[in-house]
Amino acid sequence: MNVWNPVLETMPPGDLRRYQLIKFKEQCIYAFKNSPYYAQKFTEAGLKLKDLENIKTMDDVLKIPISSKKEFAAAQEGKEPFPYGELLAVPIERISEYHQTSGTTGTPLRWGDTWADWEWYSDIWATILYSRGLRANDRLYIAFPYHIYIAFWGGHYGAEKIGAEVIPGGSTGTEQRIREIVDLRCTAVMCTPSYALHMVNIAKEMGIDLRKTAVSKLFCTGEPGASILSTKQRIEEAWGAKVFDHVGATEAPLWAFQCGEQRGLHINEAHYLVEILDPETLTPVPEGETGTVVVTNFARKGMPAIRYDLKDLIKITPEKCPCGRTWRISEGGVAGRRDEMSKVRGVLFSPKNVEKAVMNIPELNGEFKIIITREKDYDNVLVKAEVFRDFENVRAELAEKLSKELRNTTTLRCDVEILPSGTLPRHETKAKRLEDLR
Amino acid sequence: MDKRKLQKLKDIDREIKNLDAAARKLKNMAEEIELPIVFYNANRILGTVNVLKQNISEPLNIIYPD
Repeated sequence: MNVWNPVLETMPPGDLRRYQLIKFKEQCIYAFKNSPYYAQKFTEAGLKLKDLENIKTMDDVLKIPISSKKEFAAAQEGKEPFPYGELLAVPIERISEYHQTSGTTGTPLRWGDTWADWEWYSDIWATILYSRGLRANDRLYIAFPYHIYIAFWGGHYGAEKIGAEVIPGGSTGTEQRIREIVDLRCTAVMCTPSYALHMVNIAKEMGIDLRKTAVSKLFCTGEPGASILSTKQRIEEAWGAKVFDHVGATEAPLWAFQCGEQRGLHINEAHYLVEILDPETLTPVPEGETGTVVVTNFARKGMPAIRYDLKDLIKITPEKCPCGRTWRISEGGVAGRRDEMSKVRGVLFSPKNVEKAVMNIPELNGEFKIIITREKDYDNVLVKAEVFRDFENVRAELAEKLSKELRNTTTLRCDVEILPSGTLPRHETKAKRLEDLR
Repeated sequence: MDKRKLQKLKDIDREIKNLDAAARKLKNMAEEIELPIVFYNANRILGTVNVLKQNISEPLNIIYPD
């Protein structure tokens, strides 16, 4: 059994829920006493310290106000101490790690972690990597630019903690990265799913068959791809390796992950209270129904996040994982993000469904872009997708095929443009698939 | 959890607390005589020990108090 910490990973569900409620209460009290943002937020909600000390049940949890990214951004904008503002809950000299969000949905959030927070972060990475069989005899290549975004930084330190050899594939080109993976006989790779596919395409052009490398595991995150069956299968077949997904945000890293059994995403119950709520009423949805994810982190002290609305949509399944963990499982990974789900001609539209359609066509190389426009009150969706070089002469047929697939996955009629390989921009971190010009 | 395993975990918890106390003592001693090498390394050790406190000691003390 690939369990890093049996005390928390196999704790009976009743005990686990009791433990979580105590940790939730402690973090609320901590935040009230130390974070100017939460002191104000809780006070405005009419909560006193005594109310927080009396948290005992999930009903009590529901009385604590939910925070949004917008509120976090407002608590930083022009507020002291720079750059963390009112979210900071420790003296600023205790912060040793700086990262920020990409700002794709607004102003970037500036995030500070203490050394203890950073150790916590690398430990939860160690938990998930260990669960997938990463060990001290592995050589892990991290195809990531090592910049201001938190992304795979924790993966580097978590793998080191296990004792694996870590190769930082920082600022270099894709061809060079592929050569290093091959030449150094790497056994595992960490990257975004779209970059894993991009490496496949480049390796083909270099005459390299990635199935013949020593890589047996790919750890993917940053995009939903690794939980989309068609994308996952395409990566696994091209690399001859298992693909594992996990999800998180700068504000709440690794709140769910896929273990070695690859059965949906385990909720990281040891470190988070994860609530699945109705997006409209913000009340808990029954098991098996899709809801929005609201998380509370138990351990992070630099900048706590309590009942933080991630806007991710997931569904919990009653299925138990054969890995032995008692942690809940989300079926099919993140179904989408509330801020990415847009209404097109009155229908809910998610880029994830476009990805499913693209990945169902083996002649397409997996790169795509969605552009939504509005003309005379009519929403128009244009999907641009790239074709493998060998199939450039059948672009018209592929356009028709993709159009049909899109009709199935999105229920909408979409315009389609099939482009030669290498036309669309590539991303080493989160791929920007959607451009809504309405 | 079986008794033998629980007892072992309690022993581990005791050693974690000893480690924490030792690192804290080191940090304080280093501060008194301005010895940065000891102060900052002890601080790092405390970060690591904190992971053990969060993941082993706290759940044990909450779920299986003495």
